[in-house]
Amino acid sequence: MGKKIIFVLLWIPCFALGQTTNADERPLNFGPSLLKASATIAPTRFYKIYSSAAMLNGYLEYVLEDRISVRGEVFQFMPNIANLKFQAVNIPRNYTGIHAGFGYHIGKRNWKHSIHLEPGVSITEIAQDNYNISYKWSANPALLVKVGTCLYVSRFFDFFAEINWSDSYVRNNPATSVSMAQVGISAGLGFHLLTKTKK
Amino acid sequence: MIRIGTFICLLTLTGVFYAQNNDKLNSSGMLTIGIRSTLSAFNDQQNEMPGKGIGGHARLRLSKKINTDWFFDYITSDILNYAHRTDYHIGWSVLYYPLSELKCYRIQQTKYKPLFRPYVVAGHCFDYSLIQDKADINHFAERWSSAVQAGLGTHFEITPRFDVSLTAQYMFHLGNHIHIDYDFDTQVLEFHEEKGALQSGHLLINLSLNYKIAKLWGRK
Repeated sequence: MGKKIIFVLLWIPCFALGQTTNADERPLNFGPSLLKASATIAPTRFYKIYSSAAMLNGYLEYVLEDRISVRGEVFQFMPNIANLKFQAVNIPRNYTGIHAGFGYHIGKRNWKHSIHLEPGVSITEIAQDNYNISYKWSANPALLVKVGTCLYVSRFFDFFAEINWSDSYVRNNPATSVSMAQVGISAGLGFHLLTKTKK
Repeated sequence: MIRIGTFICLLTLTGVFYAQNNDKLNSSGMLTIGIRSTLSAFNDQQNEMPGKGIGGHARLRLSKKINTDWFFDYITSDILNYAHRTDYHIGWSVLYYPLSELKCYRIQQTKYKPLFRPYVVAGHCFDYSLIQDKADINHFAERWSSAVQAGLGTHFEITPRFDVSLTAQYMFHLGNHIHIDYDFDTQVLEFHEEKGALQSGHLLINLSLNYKIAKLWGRK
């Protein structure tokens, strides 16, 4: 009986290894003409004004070539979640970042690492005094740099994780200009579709 | 030491000549679109900090050696902590590629290797500047003017269609100049308009990402 058990135990790994498929036979879920989108909540730190916040982050991306994609995205400040420090003149009541740019992708078949450079505009509403009596809107030039990784697990779904850094300055502040420099993390489930089939 | 230097130069040149490119994508009729991030330095106003901006452009290639650039920029900057400035530029430039006849830009082989493509740039733009008092934004001065710019740059062609470009150019404003006087004791800001040409300028450094989207003519 003992010999039979040992025999079975020795054979199980062989069967398990036998299940592995050749990497080239697996479907390729990433390639030119891939359209992808997602929306997630991005914990974000405004590190120059010592405040933390959450952003609603959504993007739409189209892969132009094996390594190049074009992408547009939005960050919307969720004010009630923020942990805000310092006086009101430094803190945005509303913040929306709108960016568009290109990405460069490297990596294996369905697991890609990317870097994106996306200039854009930050639309900010900020207090003009310490008593929150008046607020002003402004649209300011902004730059977003992000690095990330994405696993394309099926024809339609992917898992992604990205680190976002962006900066812009609110200049119409009465005291001094306020930096909206921030670092955040976006991660979650994304959706994609190859819009052109290979011949 | 000289021999080692010569050897390194020869190796580098060999690398350049063996680099490949798709020549058709760098010929007449190619339309490129790009987005750019701008740094404005050495501004003309006293106490003015470097400005940061964004913009976009379209490039239309006229020949292998000549490209044109049609751009828009939006730049903001601080003048210490008493005023801030906003600039809008809309204009065009001509890019000249002096090295485009080199072998590395003409040879087309199977596997593409990234390469640099330097250029000289010069052009003209229309400019709107707005300078506002930080304490009271209704206290401001504005100016419409025209400007000329010239400089140097290079594309880094990562794929046949995609490139990253870095350009440094100096922009001379041709119209009137707004001069600011600020009294730190009384904290009073005054604007003065000075007439004359070439009184002000700034250095613009652009980092742009560009993609060749269409060949408008000369497809065959």
